[in-house]
Amino acid sequence: MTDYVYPGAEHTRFGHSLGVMQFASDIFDTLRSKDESVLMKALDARSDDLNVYRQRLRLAALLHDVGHAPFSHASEEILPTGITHELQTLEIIRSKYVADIIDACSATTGVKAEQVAKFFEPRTIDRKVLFLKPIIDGELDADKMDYLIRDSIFTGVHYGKFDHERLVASLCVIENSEQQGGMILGIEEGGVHALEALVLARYFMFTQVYFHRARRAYDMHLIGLLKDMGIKYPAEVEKYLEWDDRKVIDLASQHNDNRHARAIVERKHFKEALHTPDHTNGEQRRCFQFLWKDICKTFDSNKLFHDEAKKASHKFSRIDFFVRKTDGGLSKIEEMSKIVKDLAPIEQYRIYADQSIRSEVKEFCRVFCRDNGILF
Amino acid sequence: MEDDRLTLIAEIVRRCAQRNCNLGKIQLQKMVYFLQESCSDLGYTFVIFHYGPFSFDLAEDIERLNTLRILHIEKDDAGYGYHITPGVHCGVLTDTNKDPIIAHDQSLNVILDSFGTMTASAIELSATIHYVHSVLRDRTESYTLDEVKLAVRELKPQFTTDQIAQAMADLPAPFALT
Repeated sequence: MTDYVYPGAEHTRFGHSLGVMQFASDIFDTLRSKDESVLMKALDARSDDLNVYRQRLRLAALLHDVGHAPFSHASEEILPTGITHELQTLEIIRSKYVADIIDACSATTGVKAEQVAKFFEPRTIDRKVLFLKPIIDGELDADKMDYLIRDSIFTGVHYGKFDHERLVASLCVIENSEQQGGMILGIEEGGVHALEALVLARYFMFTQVYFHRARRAYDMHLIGLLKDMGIKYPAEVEKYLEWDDRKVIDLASQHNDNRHARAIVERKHFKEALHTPDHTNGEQRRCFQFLWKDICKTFDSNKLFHDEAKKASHKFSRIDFFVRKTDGGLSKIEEMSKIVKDLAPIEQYRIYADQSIRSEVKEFCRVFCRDNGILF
Repeated sequence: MEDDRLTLIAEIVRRCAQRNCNLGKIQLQKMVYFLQESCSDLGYTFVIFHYGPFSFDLAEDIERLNTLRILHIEKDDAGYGYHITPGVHCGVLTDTNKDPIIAHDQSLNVILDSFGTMTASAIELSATIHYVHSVLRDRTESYTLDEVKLAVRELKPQFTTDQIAQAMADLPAPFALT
């Protein structure tokens, strides 16, 4: 629900999927142009077959998010237990809605639907899939490259931009390292600064967009509305595909008696009453848990919620990437970049309150912290 | 649930420190893998990554525990490794949330006894063997241990077939291939 905070953020998942497909193609083409024989070895393929692997990768990239629920990560809690959007992606690719189309074109493309579906199997030991999949879902992947730049452009938040052309051009296949065996995606030393820029982009876009306090409030109202309506997204593909953003917003419009629906429709979201530091320590976390319990005993819990960075989408996390140095040696990115080594994930906790009680909740928090000697 | 699994991770680290085991990120990932396989679903999804079975959610939780100073993660300047020890706030979880520790006490000891002194490379191989075996077992009606060996060799070419066979034979009893 980013467009509730950044009105320009009306881009679509379809546009993003096309972007991921393009980035994946660019990465594959870069690896091939640098050393086709290494790519052939990684995929155990002949030169002619590489085009088929490229097409498989492109289709997997295009379809990688097809299993997302309405409003993407915001409403994942409403999926049935044991079901994730990745599993739904797998089922949708195998369904008649997608498989029939891919298979109908297989005489031309050389690609069958099941070969694309394999990218989304939860536990794979297929070496070729394990080599290709990180191009679209890994630590430095086409998905991140696209959404960071796309979200940056459409929100107007400039932090998400980085030199993606330089970054893609620096990618390479690293083979037969004593450390990890096999062949994996890595980066040349010349691309380290472009990689640092992507890492910083992830960090700042998380703090400014994905974990923006108002955006998170709307995410929580969305979940609250769906839970209050007793809704669980169906697992069965045909029924699952009936759910989209419009259906959820229509629900909100039709149930103005629901507090979360009103918050969404009237833009009267719960507001932040307290937040802990960006890098909360264990003792502060425990204090926060005690504070939250006390607040829930004192105020109407229907007018409160709490949030933490862990629950937000596109969390910033450390990366474990290999660098091929100019002298031919290997290094981990952390050894070559202090930025990557030292930048820690956000660990912040927040309390939100209905606007009618927010001042009292803020004051309660202030007194609690004072009386317990807590510094947040 | 979340605090319980964070507590179990912290407890593994605490017990390793007590036993003077050299614990890095690879060992910790694999110990949690085996803990999940042996006793209860901690909710982590493991995939084959650079060093065998790996959970991105677990990696995030380990980093969170580092940020929270419940764990202390230090880089080993001599190589690619890390040293993980209890942080200054470790007791915030392990002293106050005892229920999951009591419930999994035996399993935790089995994990430490079985893998506590293994090198990162050895535990990587053991975990990969176990993972591959469980995937083949779930997917096919019949498979042979030779097929497990071949599949592991394809994923981990830095290990010889003999090394893999030996590691398969040496898997601790609770995790032996059936």
